[in-house]
Amino acid sequence: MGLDYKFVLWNKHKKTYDKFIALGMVLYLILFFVLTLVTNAELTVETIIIRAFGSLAIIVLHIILIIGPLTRLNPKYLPILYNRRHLGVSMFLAALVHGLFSIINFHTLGDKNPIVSIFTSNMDYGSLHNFPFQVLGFFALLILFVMASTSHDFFLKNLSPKIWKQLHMLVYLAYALVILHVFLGAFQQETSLFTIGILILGFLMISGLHVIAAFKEGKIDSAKGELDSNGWLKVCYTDEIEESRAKIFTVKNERVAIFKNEDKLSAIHNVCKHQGGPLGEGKIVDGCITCPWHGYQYLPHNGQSPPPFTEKVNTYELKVLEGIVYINPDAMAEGTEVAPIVC
Amino acid sequence: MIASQRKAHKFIWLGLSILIAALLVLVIKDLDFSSSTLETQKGLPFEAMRSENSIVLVKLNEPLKTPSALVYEINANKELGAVLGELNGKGEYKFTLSKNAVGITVIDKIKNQKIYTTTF
Repeated sequence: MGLDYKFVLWNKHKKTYDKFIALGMVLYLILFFVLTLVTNAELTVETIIIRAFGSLAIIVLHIILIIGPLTRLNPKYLPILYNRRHLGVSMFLAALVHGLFSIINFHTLGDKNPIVSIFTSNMDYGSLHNFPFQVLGFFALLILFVMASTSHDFFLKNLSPKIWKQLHMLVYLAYALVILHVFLGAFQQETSLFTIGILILGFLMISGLHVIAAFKEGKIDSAKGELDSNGWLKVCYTDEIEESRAKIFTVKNERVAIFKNEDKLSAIHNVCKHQGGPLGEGKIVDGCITCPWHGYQYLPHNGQSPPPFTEKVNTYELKVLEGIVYINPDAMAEGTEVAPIVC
Repeated sequence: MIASQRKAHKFIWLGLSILIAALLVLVIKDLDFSSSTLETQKGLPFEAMRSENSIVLVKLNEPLKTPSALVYEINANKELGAVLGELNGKGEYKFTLSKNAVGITVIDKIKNQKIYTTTF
């Protein structure tokens, strides 16, 4: 949450997160270099750099892709989601080193433009075992570049969260391109059961977690509630919601968080305007609903960020009858004041 | 995530899982896990290995004394085929063979001398 844009809005948690990223990446590179020099000393430095940074980028991409479904399946993984953007940018930088060294090594010594050479040095596009796999890597790198360069609140705000999220979902296409880049390229030239096994395991883990999380979310979405005579949805008993916490319900296919604050209930749309974080998994801090992802805050009674901030979410009307909480399924406009209901 | 994004995620991952899995099966079927080592010629610092997927690996264990070393393909008629590349020094080289290649030969073009020949 900030009033102006800074290149990186550092805080203690981000610094800790980034130290882990940097340390992990450096350790991996050192280990890769040492092991390669011990086991295959004849490789040139360029080849080792290409392999080290390429494999590093793939590993980090796998970590990035499992964070989302992991947190949807179990909120205890939320801390690793906190600064996923920096992980993404770090992964792009590793992929960039791999791509640049590959282009310099394989495409700059001829008489063609290196980029043209990527597309034309091998024209066997109809073959599986001799497919010009570098083209796939090139397109994946382009997607990662667009994503890394827009990984900032400035673009999130100006593109709108919906467009920004759609743009960043291109990472799934990049992943598919990367997988095929490796299988049609490196593995065709140097077939190793171990590395193929690792990558297949990675693919099964990522796709499995995403599909399981999607079905879990789908089950929650399709849960049918009981309506009263006025069309209000019965959701829970008042004592099921902890003080300063929320319970999340699905209302007309959208998630709504009902918070209890000083024994009064308020309902707001569950999706944070910043990066789509689940507000209902956060808690009330200093009277404000606080997003568990990045700490964006909203007032429970009107869904507005406290001044001078301008984010707003939908609010919902509630009523309590004999200890049972009912919600009007029709959302109020973003930022509409709704008086909290006494339990 | 909002409802439409959750739905999009579900269909994207169902689609990707099926598509990538199918492509990987096709690709893995095409991989060769049993590369065959060809005979090395005694006294020469070469080792050549060919896999069924048309890649030939030439390992040069020490620098050559000849001023040039071009790698040619030997075609089905046992004649000199296309130039695959050049050996510049100690190291591993990979070349892609055409479908009808039956071997490779390394020639010093300056002295017009065959340095190494192997057939598959």
